[in-house]
Amino acid sequence: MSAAHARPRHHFDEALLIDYAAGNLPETLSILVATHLSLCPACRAAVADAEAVGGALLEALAPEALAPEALDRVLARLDDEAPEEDAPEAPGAGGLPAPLRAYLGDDLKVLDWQQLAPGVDKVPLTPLSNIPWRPEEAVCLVRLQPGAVAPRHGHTGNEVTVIVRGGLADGSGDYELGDALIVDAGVTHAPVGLPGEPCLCLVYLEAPLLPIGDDHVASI
Amino acid sequence: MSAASRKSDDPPDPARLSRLVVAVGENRDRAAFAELFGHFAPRIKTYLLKQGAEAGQAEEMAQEAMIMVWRRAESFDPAKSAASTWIFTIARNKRIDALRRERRPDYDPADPTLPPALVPAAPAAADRAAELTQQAERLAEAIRALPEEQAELVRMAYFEDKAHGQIASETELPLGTVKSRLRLALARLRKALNAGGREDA
Repeated sequence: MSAAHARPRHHFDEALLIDYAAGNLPETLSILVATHLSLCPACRAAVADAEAVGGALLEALAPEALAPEALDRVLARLDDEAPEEDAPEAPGAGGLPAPLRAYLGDDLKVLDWQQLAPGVDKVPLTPLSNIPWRPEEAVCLVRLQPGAVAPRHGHTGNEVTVIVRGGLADGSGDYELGDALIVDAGVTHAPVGLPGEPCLCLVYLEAPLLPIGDDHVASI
Repeated sequence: MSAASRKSDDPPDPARLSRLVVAVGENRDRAAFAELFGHFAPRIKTYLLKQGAEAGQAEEMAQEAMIMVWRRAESFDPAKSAASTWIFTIARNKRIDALRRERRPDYDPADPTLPPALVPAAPAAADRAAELTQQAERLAEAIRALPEEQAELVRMAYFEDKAHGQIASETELPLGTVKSRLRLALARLRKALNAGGREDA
């Protein structure tokens, strides 16, 4: 990316960054945080500091003795062959950040896009671990063509969005590369793709959406 | 650098721990590894016990975490983090893998799509080592000095696998209060971390 790379203006709450650094978030929400971090040097610095706090807390713990033979057992295992780790998915045509490439690869054309509305489609992510995500939770990559409007919807839980390319607007403002947008339960909105390249955004739903017509109550 | 030259009852200082990890990464130094093991494995075991591992499981996981330290030592960059920070992330990931049985998505610092951070050039290694030691002392002091209401939430976040939303429901504190206490705690600790050194972007 060029030196003039736009820096995100909308960030995650530091409490959530602490959760990420401490390892308290589910895999789903962690994908969103890791994607934002891929695009946000300021939040990377905050997470690094929160990890340093973790290091200092670890240092301060009272030691719990291991079995007397533990060191010898470990020394004997040091030369065992390491289990193969997944090689990181190399960047390709899609230009997706590494945390997303791990789930989707990097060729947007081969993905199984499902249309939501004219100019709006999505691809669901599936867990890399063997633990299924809660059925009501979902992480999707959503694509909005410029000017396309996502169907107005409400939320029964938080909806978290990170912009991966292009931008979108809802009543609360404009969101561009790397920006994080958190919509609380009870709020409805209808995001629209900003002019320019199609908007790609990663969306996490903590609970199912409420499809809503024009007779919504609280709208942003 | 000989790892054997130190008297065994001195607590290793942060600069020494950092050199030990580098010695493992660069020279596969088993004596250095043994010293790291002696210091960190019992603390990792305590961490895992606090996080709810059974005694036998905590023992096994602490050993496995130290094997990860051996395997990954080459990726440790003493200019970027303290040894304790780096080892904390290994213990944390081991916990997520073994206790939560989940993946932990992380950004890749070598990702070519990553925009660069605005960090000043790394200080010379000797300066950095001295700085790490001072930083660790300031941070430890700042943790001890946290107001109890903040310290309690920090312990829950780091040792009890509780995200801030869950802390709010268990403590019956309003979510905004939990967020602001955690934020305040991190701000104090970041100030201690960054006090004589790096400026944030």
